[in-house]
Amino acid sequence: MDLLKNTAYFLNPFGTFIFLILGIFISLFFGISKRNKVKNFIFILMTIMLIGASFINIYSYKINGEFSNDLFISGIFEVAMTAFILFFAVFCLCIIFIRSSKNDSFVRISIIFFFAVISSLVLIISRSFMSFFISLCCFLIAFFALATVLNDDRSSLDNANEKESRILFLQANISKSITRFFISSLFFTILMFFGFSILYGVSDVRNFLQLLQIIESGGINIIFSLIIVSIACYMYLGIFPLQAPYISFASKTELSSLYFLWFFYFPVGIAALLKFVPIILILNKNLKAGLYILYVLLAVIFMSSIGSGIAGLKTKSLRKISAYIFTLMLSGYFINILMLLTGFIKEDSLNWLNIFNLSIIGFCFLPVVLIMSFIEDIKGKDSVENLKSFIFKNKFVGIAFFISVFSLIGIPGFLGYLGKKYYFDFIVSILNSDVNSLAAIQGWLVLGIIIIYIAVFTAVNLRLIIILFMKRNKETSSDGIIGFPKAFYVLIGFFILLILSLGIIGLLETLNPGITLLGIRITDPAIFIKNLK
Amino acid sequence: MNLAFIFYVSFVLFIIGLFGVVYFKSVTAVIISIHFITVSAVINFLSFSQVLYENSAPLLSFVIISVFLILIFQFVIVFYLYSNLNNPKTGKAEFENNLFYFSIEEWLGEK
Repeated sequence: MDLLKNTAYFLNPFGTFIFLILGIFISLFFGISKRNKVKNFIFILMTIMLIGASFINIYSYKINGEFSNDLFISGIFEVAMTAFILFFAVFCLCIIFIRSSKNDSFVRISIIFFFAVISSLVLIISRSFMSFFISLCCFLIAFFALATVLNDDRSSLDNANEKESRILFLQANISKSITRFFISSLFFTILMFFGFSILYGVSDVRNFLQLLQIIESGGINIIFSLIIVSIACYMYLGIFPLQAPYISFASKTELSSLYFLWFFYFPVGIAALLKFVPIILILNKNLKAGLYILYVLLAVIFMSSIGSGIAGLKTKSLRKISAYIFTLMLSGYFINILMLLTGFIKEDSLNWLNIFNLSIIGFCFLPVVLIMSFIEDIKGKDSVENLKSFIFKNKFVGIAFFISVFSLIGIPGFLGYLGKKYYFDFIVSILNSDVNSLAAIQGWLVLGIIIIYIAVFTAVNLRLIIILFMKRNKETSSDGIIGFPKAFYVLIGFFILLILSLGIIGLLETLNPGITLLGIRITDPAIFIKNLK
Repeated sequence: MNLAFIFYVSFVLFIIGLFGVVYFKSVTAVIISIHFITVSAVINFLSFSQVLYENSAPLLSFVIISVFLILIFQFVIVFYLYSNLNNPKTGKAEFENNLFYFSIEEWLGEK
C-alpha cells in the first residue's frame, strides 16, 4: 500500500516522462529498420504515447496536486505549459511523418524527437540551476541532431550529375545556416553558464527560490549576472538586431525543422525566460532598478516592433513573414512582463496570459504556417506570389487562412482578441492615469511603444490578407484550383472551429450577458478570462 | 591568491571571448572564443567554490556535467560543419560575415 502511495506521489510530474521514455525504449528495438510497416507502427505508437503522456500530465495533477522538491516544481502553470508542449509534439510528429516517412532514418528521427520533447519538459518543471541548464543543453543538442537529419537530402541523390551538384550546393548553404544558428545557440548556453557562475559568487545558490531570497543583499554582482542572462535570452529569441542566424535558418531549412523551431525552440526559450521573472519583480521594488528595467523592456519591444515590422512589410518571402510575425508575437511576452511591473496585472495573471499567448501560437499561428507551408510544397518555391488570389482558388482554405490571420490581429469574436483585450485595457488605463507606478512621461512612452507594436503587428498581418485577395495580372497554367488532402481540411476545420468557438465564448464572457441553456450558464467555460481577472 | 584578482582575470577572458564571437568570421575562431568564455566561467565557479564555500560537491558535479555537455555540443557542430563543407579543398569553414551580421538584403530581401 505504501509503495502504491509513494508511486502515486511521483505520478505528477514523472508519470509523463515514464510514458515518453517507454516510447523511446520500444522504438530502440526498431532503430535500424527501414520497412514501411515498422515506420507506421512507430508513428502510431509514438502518437499514442504522447496522448497518454498528456492525459497522465493532467490527471496526475488532478489527483496529487502540486509537486516540488530541490530539483523540480510542478504547479498548474507547469502542467498547462507541459500540455501545450505535448500538443505541439503530436502535431510536429505528424508533420515529420508526412514529410519524412520515406526517409530511411525515420525511426531514429522519432527517437531523437522524443528525447527533445523530454528535455523541453524537464526544463519547464526544473527549479534548480543544474536541472535547468542540463535539460537546456540536452534539448539544444537534440534539436541540432533533428535539424541536421531532417535537412539531409543526400539520401535522395541519384546519378544525374547536374542534380547531384545542385543538391550538394543547396546542402552546403543549408549546412552553413544550420551551423550559424546553432553556434549562436551554443553562445547562448555559454553566456547562461557564465551568468550562473557570477550568481554563484553572490551566494551558494542552487535554485531559483534561493536566488529570490538573497537577491536584495546581492549587490552589483547579481545585476551583472542578470544583464548577461538577459542578453543571452535576447539572442536566443532572435530579436532585432540579433535576428540574423534565426532568419537565415528559417528561410533555408526544411519545413518540418521549421515547425520544431517555432513550436519547441521558442516556447522553451520563453519557459527559460519566465524563470527569471520573479527576480525581475523583486528588483523592480528598487526605484532606480525598476526604472532601468522598464526602459530596457520598452527598448526591446520597440526594437522588435520596428525591426520585424519593417522587414515583415518589405520581404517577399512567406517564410520570413511568418518568422517576423512570430518574433512580434514573442514581443507580446515582454509586454506582459511590462504590465506586471507597472502593477496592471498580478503574477498569477501573467502566468495565465503567457499560457494564453502559447494557445494563440498553437491555435492561430499554427494554421497560418500550415497553410503557407502546404502551398509552398505545391508551388515549389517560397514567395508571396504563392498566396496571391489564393482565396479564389480554394475558398475553404482561403477563408480558414483569413480567419486565422484575423484572430492573430485580435479582432473581437476571434480567439486572439482575448489576449489583445488586455493590451487595449492597459492603454485605456494609462490614458486615464490609472497606472500609479508610471510617471506622466513614462506613461506616454509606454503608450506610444505599445501602440507602435499593435500597429506594426496588425500591418504585417493585414499584408497577408491583402495578398490573399490580390488578383494576378497574368494567369498561368499552374494557377488553377489548388487541392489539399482530406485530412488537411479536417485539421484546418478543427482549428477554425476552435478559434471561433473560444473567441465567441470569450466575447460573451467579456460582455457578460449571462446566457443559460437548460439551466447551465454556457458562457462559464471561458476559464482563461476568469483567471485573468 | 586574491579572489578579486581571479575575478578580473576571468572577466578579461570573458571580454576576449565576447569580442572573438562577435568579430570573427571563421568558425574555428568563434569556437575558440566560446572556449575562452567557458574557461572564464569555470574559473569563476572553481575560485568561488574554493574560497567562499570550501569545495562544494554539488557545484563540482554541476560544472563537470555542464562543461561535458557544452563540449559535446561544440563537437557535434564542428563535426557536422566539416562533413558538409562547401569547398572541401580549402579545408576552411568560414561564414561570409560575422555571426550576427545581417545585410539589408538578408534582412528585408530574398537572400
